[in-house]
Amino acid sequence: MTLEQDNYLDIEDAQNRRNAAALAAGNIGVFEFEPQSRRAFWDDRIRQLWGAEPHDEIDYDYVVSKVDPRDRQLHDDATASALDPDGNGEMDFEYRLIAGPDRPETWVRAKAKCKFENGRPIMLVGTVEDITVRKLAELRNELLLRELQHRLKNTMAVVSTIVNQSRRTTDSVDELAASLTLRLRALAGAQDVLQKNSWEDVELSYILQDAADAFSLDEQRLRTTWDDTYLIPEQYVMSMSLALYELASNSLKHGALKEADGVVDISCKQIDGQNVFVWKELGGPNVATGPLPRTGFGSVLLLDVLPSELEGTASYMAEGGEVSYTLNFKPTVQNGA
Amino acid sequence: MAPDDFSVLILEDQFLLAMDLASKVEQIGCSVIGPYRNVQAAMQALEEIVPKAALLDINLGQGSTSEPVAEKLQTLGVPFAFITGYSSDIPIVQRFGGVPYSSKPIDVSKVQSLLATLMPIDKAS
Repeated sequence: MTLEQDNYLDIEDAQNRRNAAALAAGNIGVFEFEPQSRRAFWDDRIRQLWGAEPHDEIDYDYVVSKVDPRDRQLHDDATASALDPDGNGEMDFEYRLIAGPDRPETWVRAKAKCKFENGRPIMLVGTVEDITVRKLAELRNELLLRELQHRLKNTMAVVSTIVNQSRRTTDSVDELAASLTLRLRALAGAQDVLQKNSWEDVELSYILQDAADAFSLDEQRLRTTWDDTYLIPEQYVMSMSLALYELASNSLKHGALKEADGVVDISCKQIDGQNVFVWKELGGPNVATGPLPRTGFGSVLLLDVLPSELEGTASYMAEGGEVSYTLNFKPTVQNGA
Repeated sequence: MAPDDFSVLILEDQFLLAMDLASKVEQIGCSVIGPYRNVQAAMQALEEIVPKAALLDINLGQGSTSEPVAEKLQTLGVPFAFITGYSSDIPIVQRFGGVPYSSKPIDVSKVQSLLATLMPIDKAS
């Protein structure tokens, strides 16, 4: 029996005509299934798609044997539903074919309509389309959305922690609002930087540039010396951004950047297998030599969070009247490049 | 039973969140083992100490997940829960079906109810 001879391909409805047009495009095959004999008739395209030999006899068990085990139940249910005389006789679902060493993952969409006579299913006729390309793109999108949701909720957890921590060390509501706004700006900046870097590890100079832009600090005020690129692991970009906003804000309020001619020298260098980041304020108010007093969540960020996450050490202190923040951190493995 | 007997291992790669979670666990009256930031550190700790329970973040950054630690805890018979930014339909949560799960952010009462499903902490102060 060939498809051309078959009555059921003597199609009347528009859907089937569209399918016939798509057939010509090459990625759709036609099948028939006779419930009574449980035999199926496949055209060459389906045989090709499923890896069947031209003369293989196709019955229902053969069909199922080629369906990915994860989707066999779905396949059985969809078939039973289409053959159900009390149903609408339609089938339209997507499933995976079994993959093998020489067979990549294949997704197909089966659409079919069952003909009934005297309340009994006589023949199921339909098409199978290779939808692998679209399906894999959809799955990629789902994965991206899931990652995005994970990041969003993680960020909310960070915000929640920041609120709790900031509250402990802030006296007035106004002050609390100001410090929270600063930290939310830092988190927003981190999101921008991450997004521009496709959510991968980010060069420290980019994070610094974002902070400089946020406070309208140009190269005359923040003088940077960079001898290489320093990657910050993507999950720690938020902390690095928070720390840099903290340093800039502190300096604008109390330090060198408060003065018209005050500047900050920023450098990052490799010394003895460690990365050493230094924020050194010049021309600020004279500060007594020694570690700066720990003043709340900002100190926690600079002296606990960042060195812990980047596996290093940090100090925030004054020497010879000038304030400097030094962060030693573990070099990350360059990805790509 | 002294509260310190209710030891909870924490695995969370972000320091701020780990610190926050640790303080919440302590508020409930349990003691904290860790927090650990990666699989390696947590696995090493489990060689030496067996906690009463564990709270695990799932995504530990750089493509790593807490799955190996979850497996190890299962082998040791230590009950654990996931605290994650993912929704519960991701494969790892599905794989450890029946393991308690909470979405981030999490507050003290949620930490308490989560831990109460893992061990009899109502006796802790």
